[in-house]
Amino acid sequence: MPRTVSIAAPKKKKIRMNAARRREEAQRERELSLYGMTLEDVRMEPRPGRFFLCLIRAILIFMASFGMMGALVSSFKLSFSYPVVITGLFILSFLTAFLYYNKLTFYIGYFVVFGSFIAFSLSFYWYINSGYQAFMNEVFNSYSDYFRLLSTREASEFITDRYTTVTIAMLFMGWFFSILLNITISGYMNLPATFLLTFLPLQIAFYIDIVPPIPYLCMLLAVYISVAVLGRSGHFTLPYRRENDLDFTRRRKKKRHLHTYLASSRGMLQVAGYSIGLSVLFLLLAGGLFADDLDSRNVSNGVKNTTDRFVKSFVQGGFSALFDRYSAIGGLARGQLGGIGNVNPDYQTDLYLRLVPNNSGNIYLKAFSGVRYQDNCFFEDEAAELLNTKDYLPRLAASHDVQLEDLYEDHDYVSKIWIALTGADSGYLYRPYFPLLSSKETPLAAGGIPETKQQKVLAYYDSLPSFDNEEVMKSFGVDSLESYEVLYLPFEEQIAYDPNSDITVQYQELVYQSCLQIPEELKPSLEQAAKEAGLFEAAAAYPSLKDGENHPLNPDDEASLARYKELQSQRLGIAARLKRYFATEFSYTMSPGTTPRNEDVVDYFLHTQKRGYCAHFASSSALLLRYMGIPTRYVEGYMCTATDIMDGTPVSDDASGWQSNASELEKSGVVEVQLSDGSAHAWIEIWLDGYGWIPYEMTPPSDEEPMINLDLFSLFSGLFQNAPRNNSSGNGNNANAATGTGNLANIFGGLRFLLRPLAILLCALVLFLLFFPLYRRFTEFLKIKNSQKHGDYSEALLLSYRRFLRRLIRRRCPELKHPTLRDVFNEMEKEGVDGTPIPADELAPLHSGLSEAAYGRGELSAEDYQALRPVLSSLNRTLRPKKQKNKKR
Amino acid sequence: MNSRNIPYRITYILALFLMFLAAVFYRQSLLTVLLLLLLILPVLSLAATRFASRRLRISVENPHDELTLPATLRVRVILHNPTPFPLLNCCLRFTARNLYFPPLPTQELLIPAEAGRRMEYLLPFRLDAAGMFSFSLDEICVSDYLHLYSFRLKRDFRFELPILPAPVTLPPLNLTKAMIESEESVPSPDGELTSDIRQLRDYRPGDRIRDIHWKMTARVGDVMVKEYERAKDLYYLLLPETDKRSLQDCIAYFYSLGQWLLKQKENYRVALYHIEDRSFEFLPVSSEDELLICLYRLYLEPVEERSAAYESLLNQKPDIGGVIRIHGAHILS
Repeated sequence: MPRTVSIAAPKKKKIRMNAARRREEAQRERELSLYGMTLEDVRMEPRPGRFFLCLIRAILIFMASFGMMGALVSSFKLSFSYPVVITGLFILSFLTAFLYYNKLTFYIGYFVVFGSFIAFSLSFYWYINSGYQAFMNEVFNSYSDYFRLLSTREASEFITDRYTTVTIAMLFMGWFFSILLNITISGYMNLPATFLLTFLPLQIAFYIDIVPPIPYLCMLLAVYISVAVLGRSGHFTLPYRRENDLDFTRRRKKKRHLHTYLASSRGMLQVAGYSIGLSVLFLLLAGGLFADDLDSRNVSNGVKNTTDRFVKSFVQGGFSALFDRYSAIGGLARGQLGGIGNVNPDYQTDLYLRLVPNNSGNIYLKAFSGVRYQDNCFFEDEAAELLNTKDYLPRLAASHDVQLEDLYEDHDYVSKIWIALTGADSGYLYRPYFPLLSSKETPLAAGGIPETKQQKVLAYYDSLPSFDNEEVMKSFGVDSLESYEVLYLPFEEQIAYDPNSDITVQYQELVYQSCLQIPEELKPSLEQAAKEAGLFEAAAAYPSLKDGENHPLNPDDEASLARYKELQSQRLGIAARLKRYFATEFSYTMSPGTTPRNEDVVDYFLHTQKRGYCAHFASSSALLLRYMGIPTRYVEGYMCTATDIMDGTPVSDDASGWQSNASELEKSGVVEVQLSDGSAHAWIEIWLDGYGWIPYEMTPPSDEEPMINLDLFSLFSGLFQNAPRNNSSGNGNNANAATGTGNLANIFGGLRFLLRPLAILLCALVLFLLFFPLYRRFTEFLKIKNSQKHGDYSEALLLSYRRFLRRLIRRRCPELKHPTLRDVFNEMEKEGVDGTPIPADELAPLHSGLSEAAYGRGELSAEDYQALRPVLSSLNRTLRPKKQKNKKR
Repeated sequence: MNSRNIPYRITYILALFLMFLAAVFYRQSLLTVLLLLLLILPVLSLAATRFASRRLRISVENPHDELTLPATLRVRVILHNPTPFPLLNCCLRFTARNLYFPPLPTQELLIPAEAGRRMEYLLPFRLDAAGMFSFSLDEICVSDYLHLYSFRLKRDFRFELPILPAPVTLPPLNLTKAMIESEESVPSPDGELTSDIRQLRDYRPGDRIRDIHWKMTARVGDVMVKEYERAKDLYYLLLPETDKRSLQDCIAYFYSLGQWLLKQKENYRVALYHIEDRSFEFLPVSSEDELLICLYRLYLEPVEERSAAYESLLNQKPDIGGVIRIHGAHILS
């Protein structure tokens, strides 16, 4: 029995309405039937002008962007053109804020703004980068002063006219921030987002107790107060969102309806004015707090110290330094490789040495020796310890019970070195010895081991009682000081390649057993590198020697001695060839970038990175030489250079007791040398049969650290890239930088970094388009179930009808944009859903039920819903594509 | 305590706490200044809001005396903030209803009262049903700038406005008259009185001025009113049978029929049925004003699910004769 519904179907609206508006109108119709009245759109008289509303927003955005940029730049004493920046930023803020004037300016304006922004970026690419580099250089300088760092990173400024470059960079960054601030201020009046955007960059200055000029702070404070007050009031909505010139938004709840006034232009102006006044007054009154006694260096706490560590890493190593897998502040790495993108020494003293300078050159202080290599790490395992117990360093005769007097009697030249540990790892014994070869010597030309460069470490002593004195401790600025003395022979007394009779066969077997270990998976990579380095050619220079030949040395046999001499020369020749290869093809840097987690550090260094610091060269050469059959071990410690000794502090003119018969360098007396963690070093030791371990320097010279390549645009792209920024290919920009302009091809080439983010965005868009219908259908299903659960059967039926209607419009009557119930049922009576007319009697119950659900006073009952839902479902099924139906059949 | 302020208070305390932590741990002078500002801001905000809210003036204007359907009632709310401090968070709470219907959900108007300015807000009520429209504004809640506290200002703005039904086209009518008591003060069609004065009594509100016995009033000192003898006569008697289903049709047809009878220069009576005591009141109608009074009285009566007026009338006055029943859109005589 068809039911009759007395309420007429809703009238077709003349104006085109969006979905929200249609829902609002439907709700009002419902209210009219329920309450006999409804409250239409509340209005204000007279209505505020849109221009005024946008202008206030523009002022707020300008104050925020200029306040932030000005505060930041002025904090680091960079000058810029005030008229240009103020005018430029105000115009840009004005244009940006007026994007929200109406829908047209919003949708088209953003394209124009982004287009102009990109055009500006490309036109002034080098100026912007140079301004950024100038700023970063000033930041580095300030931070180096603050942290009392000895080294400073420095970016090469492409264009040196800082006044111009900083001005243009400010315009660029101000524009960038004004676009973001336009969203946070104009769009949402959101204080946290605005605060983060404008206040976080200022931390660069605040962190090192630089207080920006008060006027900029006033601007920012005024913006914060305005945004907080306006945001909470709710009267800030964008003009373009005002559908059909609405003055109020309407939010419906069950027991109350809230009508919020959208935009109070005069109220906004008044609030902004009061905010400015209040911030000026407050900052002037509170100005006394900006005093020097708040210098944070005088107070210490854990949080600041922790952040200090990160900040220092960042200052020294850049952004990638924050992603180091373990500490990178210098000192010993204990065989850990590849996890450090930048080595950032703190240049605090780790070791004190006291010695009498002689002309022996650099001194190595050996601490760690790694033998087994696995998972990017050299391990000081059991074999390494066994090898260290009888460390056959050049003529080593270490003994703890040797007395100085005994040495004086037995040797012509004996020296003493005193070592005190402050910051160095006290778990190691730092044993001094000299490198075998200087970087300029060629072992082949020398024909073996040079005689004058060998020395012996003879004995390690406990610290002398005098150094336990408290005053001496204080003079070092530390509470405890672990110190000991080492006696060594600064000059070799005997022939270099004289066989060492102390070396046992067991020791040599252990050396060959443990110090030729290479991970299997690395062998192809090492073979390729050895070929590229020409190591096989170097080995072939001694054709009489066969691989793996290892006969016990007989000192009395001339042939045996000659053979061992040739073997030594071959090994040193291969090492020298490798060293040349590194010197020519590789470069030294303290910022090589972190090795990717799934890569082996040696493989990555030899074939991809080709730049690194001492640990990279030492580890790679150790494995390469092992691959060539030369027992090698990886060593870490400290290196005291001749320059360090020259810069040392004389502590005593009397060198007596410190040496015996050794030649004192220009009567310098006893000199104290301080070694910082920056002096930590890695090198290798090569095993020579019958002789022992030879220290060998593989790291190429690094007289000056190259300028870092700071690029503002790659700063953003770095977030999307896995590869380290400081790779060698990144230096290509410098060529064009010299001209200050570059060409378009290069610029577009430089924008290649955008490909990945664009691809990600595109994929996200495709995924969204693919899954959105499914998502919509799922949410509709949930809504229907939810309505049923809460007994709101009217809503459930209407939701089902909406889905049916959408499909009907798409498949059958696309000309109907917003059909009423009557339109839909007239259409179905004429043509049905599949072209066959449906009798009106069949449709009447559904029609009346939907009308009741939409406009009736009461709710549909569960029985009615259960009766009508199958009808609607069957109609819906007939609208499905025929292909799908055939498939099912 | 306004529950809406609680999230803002929590946010404020959280911000204060974070700023305090930042100031303590990072020891940045600006953070200390911001912390101080954050502590002072609520005081300033509350003081300014209190000052301005006490001086806030509000009025509600209704430009109509009555409205005929279809109609839109435009109520004007005027806020005047004479102080230099803008009040951005004024929440006006008002209710509106047609007495025949349940009340609308409480409406809240969140509006600013800009400093030194008279602001007018227009509330357009679209009316779809005849009846008595009632509007009341009870409270204004003014929150400070940070929404930490709300000042509640009690106000009492009320008015009622009758909404007249839209005229309808009447069907062809064949009406009969009923035998009911007449009131002598009501002139017959030829303008003559038909009965003598039965007694004099004290004035009661609602008595007509022309019934006042002026001489006796002057003599006694109290207002005395003449009460006439009543006589039965034949009149058209309209009985609106208002029930919930056909209420609006009933009112519309009743009003249109009443107007039509007045145009025909007919005096008639309207039988108003009081549900509480099942009694009837017979109101004489001889002019448009009296018809409106009948209508307003009708608006104030409660409505039954199904009207039992006719049955009650027959029970009470079985010899009343022809009654014109108005039942929904049907006129039965």
